[in-house]
Parts: sequence; C-alpha cells; structure tokens
Amino acid sequence: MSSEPLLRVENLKTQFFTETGTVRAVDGISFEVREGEIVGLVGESGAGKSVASMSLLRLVENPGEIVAGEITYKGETIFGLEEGPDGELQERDDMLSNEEIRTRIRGNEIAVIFQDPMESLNPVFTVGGQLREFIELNRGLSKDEAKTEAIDMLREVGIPDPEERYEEYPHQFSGGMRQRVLIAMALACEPSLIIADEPTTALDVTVEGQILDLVDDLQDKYGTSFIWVTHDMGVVAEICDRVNVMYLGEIVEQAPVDELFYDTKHPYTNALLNSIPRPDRTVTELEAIEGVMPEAINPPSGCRFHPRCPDAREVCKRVHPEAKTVADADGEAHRAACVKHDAFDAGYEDSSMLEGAVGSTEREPESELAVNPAGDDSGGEGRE
Amino acid sequence: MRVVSSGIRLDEDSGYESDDALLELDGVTKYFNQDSGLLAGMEFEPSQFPPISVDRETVKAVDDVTLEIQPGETLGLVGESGCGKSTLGRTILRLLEPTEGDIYFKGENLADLSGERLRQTRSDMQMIFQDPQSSLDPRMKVGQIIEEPMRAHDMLDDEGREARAKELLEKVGLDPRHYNRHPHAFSGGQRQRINLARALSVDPDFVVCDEPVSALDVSIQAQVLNTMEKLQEEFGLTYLFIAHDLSVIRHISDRVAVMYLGNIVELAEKEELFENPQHPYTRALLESIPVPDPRENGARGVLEGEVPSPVDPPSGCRFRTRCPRVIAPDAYDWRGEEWAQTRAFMRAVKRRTFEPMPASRIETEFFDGDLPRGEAGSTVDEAIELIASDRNADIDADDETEHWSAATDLLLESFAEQSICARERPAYELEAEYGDGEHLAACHLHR
Repeated sequence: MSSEPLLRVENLKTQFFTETGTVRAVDGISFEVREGEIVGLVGESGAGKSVASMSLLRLVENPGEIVAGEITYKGETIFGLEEGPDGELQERDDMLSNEEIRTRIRGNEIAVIFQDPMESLNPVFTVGGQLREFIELNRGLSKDEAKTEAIDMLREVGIPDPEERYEEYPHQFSGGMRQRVLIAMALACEPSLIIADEPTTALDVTVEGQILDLVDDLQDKYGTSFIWVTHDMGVVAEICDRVNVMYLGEIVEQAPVDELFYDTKHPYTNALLNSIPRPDRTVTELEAIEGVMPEAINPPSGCRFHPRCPDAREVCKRVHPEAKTVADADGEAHRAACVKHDAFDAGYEDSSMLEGAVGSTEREPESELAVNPAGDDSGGEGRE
Repeated sequence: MRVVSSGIRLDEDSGYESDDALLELDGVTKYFNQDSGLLAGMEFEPSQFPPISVDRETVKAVDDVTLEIQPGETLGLVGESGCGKSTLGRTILRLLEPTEGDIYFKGENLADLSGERLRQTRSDMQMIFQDPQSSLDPRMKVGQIIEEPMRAHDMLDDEGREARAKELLEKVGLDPRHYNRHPHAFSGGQRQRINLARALSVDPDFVVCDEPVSALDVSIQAQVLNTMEKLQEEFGLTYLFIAHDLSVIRHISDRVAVMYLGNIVELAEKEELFENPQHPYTRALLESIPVPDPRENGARGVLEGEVPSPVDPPSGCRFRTRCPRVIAPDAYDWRGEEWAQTRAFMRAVKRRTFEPMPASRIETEFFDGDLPRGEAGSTVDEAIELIASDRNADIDADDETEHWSAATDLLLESFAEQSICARERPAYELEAEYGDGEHLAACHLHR
C-alpha cells in the first residue's frame, strides 16, 4: 500500500462548454490504480464514467476540457495545472506534451478497449493489417516482424487459425472475435494499464464469459492493470479488485469489491444493488430507484443523489458531501460520500426527514455554499 | 363496435375465459431466403448444361417450435442473439408468415384468417419493441401515438380516445399532462412507458415484449419491469417476454423457454429451470452469467466456440457441436477418459486451435501419450498422421490446409456423426423437481 500507485487521479474535473451551459460531466473525482489490479468504474449511463476514463488519456474533445485536477502515471504528469504569474491557471511545465502522450503513453503505456468492436476497427482494411500497423508504429518493428507478432497476438487471445484469419476483414468476424482482436491490439505493446470501456456490454452472455476468462488469464500472465468501466454489477463482482461507484460526475463510494457488496456505505450503491434482478435467486419484488438521474448541467444542490435517496434528510439538500473514509477494510480505505456517516458530523441524525423528496421533481437552484464541515479523514468509524 | 365501459378495460368480456391455452404453436417454422431479388441465388456454371442453376440458401431461423401459453402467464423466451427468438415473436403475431406450422390464438388458427378478420384479431395481440427511440414516430405527439392503434381499429370517438390515452398515460406512470409532448422530450424509460401505453390502448389480451428493457439503465429497468407486472395484473395480460438477460427472465417469468439456433431446447417452470436445469446449453448459459456477488466464485462454465450458422445447422441436436457432454458413439468400445480426450482433440482439430506439432507431442498433449484402443485409436492415429508436423515436413500452406480439413472430416465422420446426438433430434419430458409443471428437455442424456 505504501508504494506509489501506477496511476493517481486527484480531483479531476472535466467540463463541456455547450450553448445551454456548462456540463460538469466529471466533477472532482480522485482514485488510484495499483500494479496488477482491476479497478471498476461503475455507474449508470450519464454518470461520467466514459468521460472520466477518456480524460486519463487526454482524449476529451472540444467543447470538452479538463479544467482541474492532476493525473500522475508512473511519476509522470499526464495532466496538471498551476497558477501562472497572472493568476490564471496554466499547464505545468512537467506535464507531458501532446507529442509525448501520443508516442509514449497512448497504446504503449495505457491502452483502451472500446465497447463497440465494429466501430473501432476499420471495415476496409484486414484485421491482421490493422493489428500489424499498430504494432509496427508503436514498437518500431519491421513489417515482417510485426506480422509475426500480430499473428502471435491473435493466437494468444484465442482466435482459431490465426494465419488464415489475419487476412480477413472485420465483417467476417463475429462480435466476440472482434472484441478479442481489440484485446490483442491493446495487449500488443504490453501496456501497464488497459482502460476497458464496457468491453463486454454488446456481447452475449456466453461470449462475455469467454472474454472475462481471457482477461483473467492474460492478467495473470502479463500482470496488466485494468480500469474496467461498466454498469453491470455482475461483471464488477466477478473481476474487480476495487470499485469506484459514480453518480452524476462524482465518485460516491470507493471500496474493495467484497466490502462494496457486503458492507455497502452509500445509499445509491445500495439502491443500485437492490434494483437489479438476480440470476441466482428469485426476487419477487424489485426495489426500483425512483426518478431518473438529473442532468449534469444543473445538478441538485447538496448531495446530488438526495432527490432520489430513500435516506435523504433536510441536511442532504444543503451539505455537499466530499467522499471520506468511513470504514477500514483490512488496511484499505472504504470511502463514501454520504452525510449519514459519523465522519461527516453534519448533523444528519438531528435533521428532519425530507418531505416528498423521493420522486419529487422540484429542485433547488445550484447552491454556491456547499457547506463542508471540517472533519478528519483518518478517523470516523462506519455507522452500522 | 365496442362500448366504453367504466373501467380501463374496454370490454369486460373480452378476457379469455377458457381453460385451454391462449396461444398454441404447433411445429412453427420460419425459413428466410438469404437473398432477395430477381437474380439472387443464381449461379453460373459453364461446365454443365444449362450453365445456370438456382441455388437458394435458406436461413432456418425458427425450426419446428411447439409450445403453449396459458392465459395470464408470462412465458420467458431466452437465448443468445441470432437464436431466432425475435423471429418467433414476430411470426406469432403474423408480422412474418410462418413457413410451416400452425398458430392457434384463442382456439382459432391464425393461418386461416386473412384480411379484415386478421386485422381485428390483431387488436388482441400487441407488441413492444426493444428500442424505445426508433419505435416512436418523432413527429407525432404522445397523445397521437397512443391513439393511433385505437383509430386504426375504429375504437371510440375522438373524445373517448383522448380520455383513454390520458388514463393510460397515468396507468403507465407518466403525467397525463404530457399528452401534447413529443417523444424526444422523454427519457428512454419514459419512452418505453409510452410504448406500453400504445400497446395497451386497444385492450389486448396478449403482448409480445421483445427485449423491452435491455436498452435501459439498471435502475430504470426495475421501474419498467415493476410497471409491466402491475399492468399485467390490472389488465389480465398474457406476456411473451423475449430477452437475453437471464436475470430479467428469472424475475418476470412464470415459465421459461430456452432457445438455441431455432429450436426450443428446454422448457419448464421458472424455479425448475433455474434450480434444476437439464439441458447442457441451459446449464452453460446459467453458469456464464456474472453473479452480482463477489463471494460467489463458482467456476465460469465457458462454452467453446461459436453458434453455428443457421443456414446449415448441425443434424440431430443442434447444440452438439459445442456441447460439453456429447454422448460417445456406440460403435466403439471406450474406456475411461478416452471419449473425452477424443472429443477434445476432434474439436481442437476442427477449430485449428493449436499449431502443427510432432505426432508424439499431439499424443501427449491430447491423450496423455495413450491413444484409445481398437478402431477408435486407429482413426485418431490416421488423423494425427495428416496434421503432425514431422510427417508433413515440406508441404506448402495450401496443402497444409487441405490436410487439416481432411483430418477434420475424418474425425467428424468417424465420431461426431456416429453419436446419437447427431442422428436423432432429441425431445424428452422429465419429472419436475420444483413445482408440478411439465419439464421438457431436448437432450439425449435423458433417453
């Protein structure tokens, strides 16, 4: 735990400047990824998972922009700001240039696997050709060497008869096979970190099983770290070591996977877990979360989940909770952003119940005064 | 002409009050011609006379499906993409013409109906589609969308339709004041509710729901599922619920049918199917779903390979090419692990999952150095001769491919095609362990 993590993200904020206003897609998230672990980034669509993961590679496009925060990878600064002489924020000197990011980091150090394998592969080039070109450019191999390497990679990810299939086009591959090709591409430069953005969502369950197995095997072999972006709690339980739950641009809970499921500390995580039908037992009544996730352009005041939260009280409307350590799980911090925990000391117990909070559509205008009482991060036991 | 009744049901008597099944399928089959157009399927072969032949390949999307749906129940239909579940749903509504087989709705054969009679029957059968976005006309207002089916079936007058549309909006959990909004103003979950309201507007008895929640977020999924259950109770609906997600199926269904490559492979009551699955495919499906419980670390039962093409499905049991429990052919005398090893070797050769290697290494890798005895052993040996790298040192790539396919053919003909799984189509009725419903499993392990 003491050693420097592979990737550290601190207070990352990514915003989109649109005509209708500023969309705070990612609003101050902090997490880290250590060597050889799979970190989950979970949430519903619109929670900011994908924007967060793309920010890590500085792949956010106009009108989006990373406006604050620090991203450190292996001691190098991928993104960092400092105050310039005129008081304006400017990029720090030690921040990697676009050129360096492109040639050294993307693909070589941090690779990405996207959700839709058809859109990630060019339909007019052969699968093998695309893989070869990628290896050729990123690893500086000759054409022939790269081809041998490409065929090896295809075999490695379980594509039968790789020499034949090297010459085929993406449309001749099934969805599962295409996803394997993307995994091969991501692994080809032996990166230390792979960002997998919903890689199995478009696949059938039996194929999903095959891919998850493959990832398990490859991770054992190469020791690669993963950031696994998903909305599927089943996949999270299956492969992740630690999990970050996102809601409306913020990380609301951060815990090792077992604690997340068995010692849930945030009402949103809890509600999410209760709302999914289970494959392993019959649930007669699903406890749906009321309402829908509001838009990030005008998030609710205080705790962003309070309009849908079954535990919400008056204080939740006023106080914006920053994630704090609320429990300790074998030396791992279990962090949650909910004022009902003692660590916040926000007077939750004495606060009155919120009338008609659940399901109500009215919303307070954005409050500038996010009360944030000073509470020490280290102490505080989980309220059981 | 129907009369408006006080309640939401337009006609209290329209409910199906018989003890018989609401819907019966008897050997329903749907084939598609792969090509369409005048010259499709035409092939030019100069070597013969006449030099042109017509060869139409058919995709056997649904093949000989027989099942019943009882009034008021939810039948879950589950399977992977491409297994024919949506085609079956559309064929039932006669949106597609069945190639063969009969569909009885309330005891009437739909195939005999046509024109006006069919149109009228359709008001009793409705459908909800997967994509809530594309199934609503963006230029119509929500009210018009919901009233359209009523207008098509000539139900009620303008005022009555508007009143009913507003009432339905409330029933599906939307604000009746949104009557004049356009679909784009609604979220995915709300759009699916509009779809529900539209389907219910003509007061159907039977609704085919084709993946109605798979495009929705988990928390929204639960809301829509709960609404669907509530409506089922209130309107006395019967659902055919098509989905690929076994968790959703387990939640909403009374009985479940599992489909693979156009066939129903298993059909049982929900508890029985999930707790006591009898078909290897159902088992594999159940094992491969990720369970939202980190302490549940059961082995992931991973299926090998991919679903074969429905143009030329395997004979006998369609799952046999991937089945982990294919039955050993009786023609040979197997000992211990011999059949399992031979099967693994056969599939590895077929899929070419390993590189050419010397014969001795193949033997150690697949057979622990010990080939099966007798006839089986000599066939295996013959196949190894064809592909071993030390027996075929200097052949070029084309020849190598030929050798591999020769070996594959030899193994498949001698073993796979000899198994009962390849020769007979299975269909067995079993004793249910949970509940007292029937349990059908199409697997020869139960012969």
